[in-house]
Amino acid sequence: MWKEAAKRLMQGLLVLFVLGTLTFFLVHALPYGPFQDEKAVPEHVRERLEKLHGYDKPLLTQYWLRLNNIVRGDLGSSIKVMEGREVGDILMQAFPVSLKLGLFAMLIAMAIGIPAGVLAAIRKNHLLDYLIMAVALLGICLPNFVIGPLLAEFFGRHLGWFPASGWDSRDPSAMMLPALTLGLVSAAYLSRLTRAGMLEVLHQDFIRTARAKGQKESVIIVRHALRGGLIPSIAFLGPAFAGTISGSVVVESIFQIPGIGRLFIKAIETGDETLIMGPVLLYGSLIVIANFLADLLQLWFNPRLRSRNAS
Amino acid sequence: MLPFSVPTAAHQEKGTFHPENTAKNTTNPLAGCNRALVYRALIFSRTIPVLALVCLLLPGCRRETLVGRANREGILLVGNSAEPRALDLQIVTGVPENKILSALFEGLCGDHPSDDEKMVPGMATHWEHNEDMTEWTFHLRPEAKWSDGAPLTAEDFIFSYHRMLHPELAAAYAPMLHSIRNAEAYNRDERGHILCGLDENFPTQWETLRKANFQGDPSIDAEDLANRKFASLDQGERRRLLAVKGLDRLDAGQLRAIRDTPALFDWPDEIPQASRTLVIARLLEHAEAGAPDLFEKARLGLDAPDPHTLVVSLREPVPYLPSKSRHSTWFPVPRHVILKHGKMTDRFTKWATVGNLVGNGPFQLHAWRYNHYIEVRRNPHYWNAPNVGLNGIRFYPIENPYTETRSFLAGQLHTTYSLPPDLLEKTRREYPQYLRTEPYVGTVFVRLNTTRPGLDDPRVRRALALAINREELCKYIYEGFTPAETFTPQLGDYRPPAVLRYNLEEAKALLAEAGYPNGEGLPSFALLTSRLNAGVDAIQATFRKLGIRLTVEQKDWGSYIAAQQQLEFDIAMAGWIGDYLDPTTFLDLWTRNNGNNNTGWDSPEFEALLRKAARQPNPQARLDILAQAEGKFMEAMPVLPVAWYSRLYLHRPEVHGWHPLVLDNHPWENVSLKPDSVR
Repeated sequence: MWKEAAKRLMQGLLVLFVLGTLTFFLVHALPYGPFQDEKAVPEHVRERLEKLHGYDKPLLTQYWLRLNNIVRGDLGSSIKVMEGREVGDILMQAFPVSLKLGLFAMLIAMAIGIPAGVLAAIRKNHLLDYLIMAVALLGICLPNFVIGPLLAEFFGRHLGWFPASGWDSRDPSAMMLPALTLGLVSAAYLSRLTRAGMLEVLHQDFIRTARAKGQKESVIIVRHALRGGLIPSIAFLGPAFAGTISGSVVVESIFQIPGIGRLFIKAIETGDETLIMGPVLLYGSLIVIANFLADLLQLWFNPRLRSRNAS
Repeated sequence: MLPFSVPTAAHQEKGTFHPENTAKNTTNPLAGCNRALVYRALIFSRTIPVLALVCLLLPGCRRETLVGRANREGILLVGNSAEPRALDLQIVTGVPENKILSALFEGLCGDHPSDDEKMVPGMATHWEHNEDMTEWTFHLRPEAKWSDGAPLTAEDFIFSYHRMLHPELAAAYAPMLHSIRNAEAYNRDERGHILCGLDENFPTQWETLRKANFQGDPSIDAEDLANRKFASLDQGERRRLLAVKGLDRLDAGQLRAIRDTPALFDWPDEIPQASRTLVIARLLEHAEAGAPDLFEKARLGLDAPDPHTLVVSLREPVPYLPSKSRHSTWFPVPRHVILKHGKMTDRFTKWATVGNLVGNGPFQLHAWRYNHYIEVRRNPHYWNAPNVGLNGIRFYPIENPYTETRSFLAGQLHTTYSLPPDLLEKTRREYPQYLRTEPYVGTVFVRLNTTRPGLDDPRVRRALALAINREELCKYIYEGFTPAETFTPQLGDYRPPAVLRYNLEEAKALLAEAGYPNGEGLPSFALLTSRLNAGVDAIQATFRKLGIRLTVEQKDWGSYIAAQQQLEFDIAMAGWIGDYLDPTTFLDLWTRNNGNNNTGWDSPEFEALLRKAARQPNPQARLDILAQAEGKFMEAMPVLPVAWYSRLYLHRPEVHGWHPLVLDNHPWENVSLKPDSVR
């Protein structure tokens, strides 16, 4: 087991190394660089800047220096978007925002998606089921750049319940509309997964046995069926959470949220290598860690998997 | 509003409870079970989210808008398009930064709240110039202070311009100060020019001396030598490397090599041997001393005869210097704060952050919440502090103009950065009280690569210009914009000939005369753009009328800019916004060495006229010469002007002291909020 875990960890580090290397060389292959501007930058100024940021050295030397710094935990400073500010500092400000938003969005997704799915399963092939599934399909199909502005128009402008845009870490109401926008898509998926999972479990023998024993239906649903019925949904939550955090770019723009997504896009637009590398490695580590934990959990819960790996 | 979610939920419970309905369903695993209990469980599981929603909604109801609160507090809420890169005014170049900086700093002259042409006193109470406008004396306010209470003197201005021009700082906007005497040589680190050319006793005059290779010859290929040690090169390779770098860029070792082996470097014949040796000796002395700052030696045209007098000497007459000095590049920076946090030339110190930044403007930096807002508050040490109308300003970096418009209409902003043109119609109908359309010094144009076959013929370019129906474009696509009559928009007394007009027949005839009747024989062109919009379609359709087919090539912003700067395009959508109120901010673009020219076109005649204008001290005569230059430029037509910009934005009526200005630099100290004046 520990050997297996160590192996997975090494694989994760290798993934990060390849990811970082690819990013570095791809950014340097861009047809534009951080030292150009909308208005032409005078030649002597560009030379100075290149020297200042070590761009005058051969590419491989630059790569080696960057690799050394990153291994030592130094992500460097932004070259363009927020010139001179430590990438680590910038991420420390932006990541909690993305994280909070993502967590709140997942809570909303679960609060809406799971009960809706359970209800649809219980009322299978009835009006309510069709209604919920239709709404869910709509939720899956409608992109968030449609849902977002609609929510902002209605709840933000017409009703004035929540701010139409902006972020305030002290005022959770500002988080409501963006989190809802992000969460609705996941809620739609969740409701469908929950419905399918519940239906499968409700047909199984142990449910019939429970009923035969005269168990109360509410207990059957909550105690016996829900556990098994939620497995597909739980499996979905991990990747969905990672996707919500890293894929909130559009929502961040619609609602003016100071998260990582907008920063990342801006860094790419200007070829700000250090500020591209920071989020890439952060997202990369998140996904590697999530997968690593999932693998560990699976190994822990499933003895068959363990023995197969050992042999 | 609150009951909205509750009855809906209750209604659903009722609606789903139809026993006769479910009973017929034999496949339902719940058939025949105690349904009431199931539903109770479900109701419970659904009540939690509903309750959670209600709890969240409660504080949300009837909230006071941000504008309402800001009106009480005297804080102006401004949509400011983008997060500033930094607040070091000598490093940043963008408009959003400039808006914030003009609240935190003040230059020699101030902006008039309603008249672009008028100058009001800023840090200087009054100023005068000599007869040919090459020497300006600014008399500073004796009571002027920095926002930390330290006195502000002429030395601070000299320090600021020194820092701005210091080659090590690499300030991209330093050329704004190049009209100061010797500033360009210092900024570009022209060591030979400073150490030898500025010395009156030097045996050879600079006019002759400058013909030597000081700047390096980029046409020589030396890629192979880039990463090799100088000592390891043979004679021929050394010669090549020295020629590529030029005398100004050589290090001590390389200069010593030339001293010892003069054959390594080629000199023009008119420079005598003694001068050559002396040049090398001076450069070597400088390099061996560790290349110290040449500011003193460069003798810039900056002088402070007393703490409250600043004398600026220029290399040429600049009648619009007071106007130019309103640009942020001419603002002072606090020497005592910058030096506390690092060296003069450090780009990355913390001097321009919250808690450290000290300015001299009507406001001081109060909060900077990354990507959220920047707030400035009253500066009690400002010379005119009692007359500042606002308690503070909050700048929101909202990049998405639709989000910004929505925020404004939801009462979160007093004034926006821009209104998306496709919302103009609707806004005009529904919110006329908020809409502002104001002229702005800028031009939308189509850039031509005049090195491409076909486009190298001025007749073809003129034909293209004739085919553009500017009236129609401004009516339907560039709504609110003015049809361009020439490249430079209307500026004060500048009256260039209005040459642009629409005449399709003439365009066709001209094209035929050039040998391309109905566009036959012209290669196919690509129209480069960073954004697909109706303007692109319109230009495509316009060219089509002449029989010329354009493919559209969309590139991301960085690649779009790079392609133009490297002349790797045929035709490109473009725009230019003036930096100050003088036609040179538009005409200087088209000189041979200007990095923003990007057309492959240049003309010695045109540049001769610009130089003639630069030497002309009489303002009106000067503008007349510039108009002639513009005429020359429009004759060659390397770009096709389409429209003169307008700024479209939303603005609340309770904001007072805010008038249309073509440079859009509203002096913040004159703005105030009067919520009672509006119902």
